[in-house]
Amino acid sequence: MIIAIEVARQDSNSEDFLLVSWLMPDLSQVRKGQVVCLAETQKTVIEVEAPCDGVLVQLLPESHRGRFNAPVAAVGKDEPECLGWRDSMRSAPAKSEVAATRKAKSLAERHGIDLAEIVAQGIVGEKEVEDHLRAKGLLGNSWGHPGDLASPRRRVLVIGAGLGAMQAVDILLNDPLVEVVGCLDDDTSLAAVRILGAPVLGTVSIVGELWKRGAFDQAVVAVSNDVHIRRRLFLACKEHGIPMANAIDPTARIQRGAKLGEGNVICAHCHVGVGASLGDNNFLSAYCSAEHHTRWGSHISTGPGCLTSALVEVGDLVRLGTGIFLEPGASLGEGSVVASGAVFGGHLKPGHILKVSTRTQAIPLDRGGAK
Amino acid sequence: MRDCRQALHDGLARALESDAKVILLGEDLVDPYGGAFKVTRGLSTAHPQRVIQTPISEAGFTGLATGLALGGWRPVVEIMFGDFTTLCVDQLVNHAAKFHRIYGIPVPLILRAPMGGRRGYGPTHSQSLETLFLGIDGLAVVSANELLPLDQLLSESILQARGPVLFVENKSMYGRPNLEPDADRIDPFAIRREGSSGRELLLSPCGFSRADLTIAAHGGMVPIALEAATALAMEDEIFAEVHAACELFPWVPDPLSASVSRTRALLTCEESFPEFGWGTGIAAKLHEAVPGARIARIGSRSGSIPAMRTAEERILPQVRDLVEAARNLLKGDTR
Repeated sequence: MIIAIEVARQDSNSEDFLLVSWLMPDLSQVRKGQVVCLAETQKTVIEVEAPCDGVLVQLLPESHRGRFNAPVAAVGKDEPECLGWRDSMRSAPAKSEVAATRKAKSLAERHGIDLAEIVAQGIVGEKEVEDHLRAKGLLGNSWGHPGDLASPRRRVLVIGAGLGAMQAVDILLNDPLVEVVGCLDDDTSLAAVRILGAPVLGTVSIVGELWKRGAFDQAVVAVSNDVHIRRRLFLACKEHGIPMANAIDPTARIQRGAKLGEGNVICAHCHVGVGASLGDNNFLSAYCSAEHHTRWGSHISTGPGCLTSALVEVGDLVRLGTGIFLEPGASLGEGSVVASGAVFGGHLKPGHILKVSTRTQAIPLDRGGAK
Repeated sequence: MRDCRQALHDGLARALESDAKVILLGEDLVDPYGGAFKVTRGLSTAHPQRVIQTPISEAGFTGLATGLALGGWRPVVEIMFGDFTTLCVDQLVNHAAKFHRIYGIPVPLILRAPMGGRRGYGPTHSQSLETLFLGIDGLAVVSANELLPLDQLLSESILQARGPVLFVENKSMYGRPNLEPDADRIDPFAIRREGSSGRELLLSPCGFSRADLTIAAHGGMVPIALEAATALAMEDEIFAEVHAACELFPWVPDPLSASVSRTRALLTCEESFPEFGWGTGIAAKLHEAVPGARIARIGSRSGSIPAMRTAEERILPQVRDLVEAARNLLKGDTR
């Protein structure tokens, strides 16, 4: 990688600077922090440092005036890279890239479309690419994009192939409009396994490649026990612009005005009340209730039977154990953990664990020993 | 393309040339120094009688300017750093803003003040204190930004003022290019010029074809808001309309109200401390105008503004702060 060296503006009185002298010769090895040239403004002399170790390539000659915040030189890994950079800087400015959203780029790439063909006012969005594809007859027949009504079946890829994945696949199999294309898991010992019939296709590293090949329309993260892994996998999918599916069991009740982000797994008999909102990528185990007007962040994982009362707020990356009651107005800060069996109505600070001290003891019924 | 410093300079020159009653006052204005930020460079040579260098006494020369305004002049006062406007509060609030209301006499006084940080000037030379002057009846507050025709904005403010005007400039703006007057785009944004004077701008990264969110900004936060809106569109397909506000007080409802009626979500961003300031004021206005709209405000964090650049960056709002605030505002949305 090549890193440009720029002279930062240091005072308001100068529009430009004079490059007084190069202290390091062109195409010489420099070290990070080493002063490579001196730039003089109306008020001061600036020592310009190398941003990293590597080969220095000069652009602005000595005794020439330069503009602030524009490259005067660069540091690259070797001479060919440096000379290539200098040639590209000296030739006419490169053709400006079409401004397009991540989703638009991804869709265009999957269909082999040049974004420059698309006429848009401003940034090209996914919608413009879809319109363009539709106009060209490229969208509508084959397995299309999830936004395309002509292909109602969504092909969903499950990220993870453990016990959580089995729950997610089970939920997805109930939806006649969903086809589970398979699972990905970094545990290579699962390579030949089928999860309720869904094949394990490989490790998570191939998700981008599968997406580019158009092998699926949506993905969902099925890891239930580690919220940080959930988040990492979710972000890895979003990195490729992949739309995430909500996997909602048909016995779950989602009431009016409830809002869900994407990538949520909602297991059997859950309840999302009126006006409740869930962010993205949450895993709600069976029999949980996000009661009316509760606000849930993202990347949350719960055990079964966690019940919230109204107006509860659950921060991002919260982990809940089994059988928890949250009283009206309770809040759980980001990354906090609540132990099983808690009954709580306060405000738990971010990064804190709420411990529960209930004493349980197992006593043999035949303590007397006589039978 | 002229930079903003040159455009403001040209606005002052135009005002001096078109009205012989225009007079410039302030510290270190005359050549060869030409003002701390060089906006007045060359003007004292062209108009030696009307560019007056004053001692370091903001209260004194603001009072002098108020008297000149009462006497039929059009004084333009330069406060070297906006932080020093605190020294002329009494003259502005208890005198200039009152005289034209009490006696019905015009007090065409312009007070130019560079606000804002991002220059490493430290705690008392980097603040955005315009919020102190919002809500003073009789005192108008105008905030310049690099998308407005600054030459025209400043000369018209000077030549048409009837009461005192605090004309806020932003230090980071001076070296940046001033958009051509009447430009209808700054890629990838389409621009609509609204408000009675065309000074209130609304920008859309998708030609106003859709909008999920409205971001309101003024002064030096405008380019930062545009950068954040670009990132939101590119990364998340969240399309934000950006309102670049100019007339901060008295408040101009449109195009902000109209935009928030469409998007039902507003993020205000300012370089000042965000509590009880500009963003709070318009948040309240919009809450009244568009009930149910989701609103968030951001500004600088608590603490004095450090001189060390990296520490300063942590206090002042950055592009990433806006992006994060916008994402949080729309979180849980089903769009």
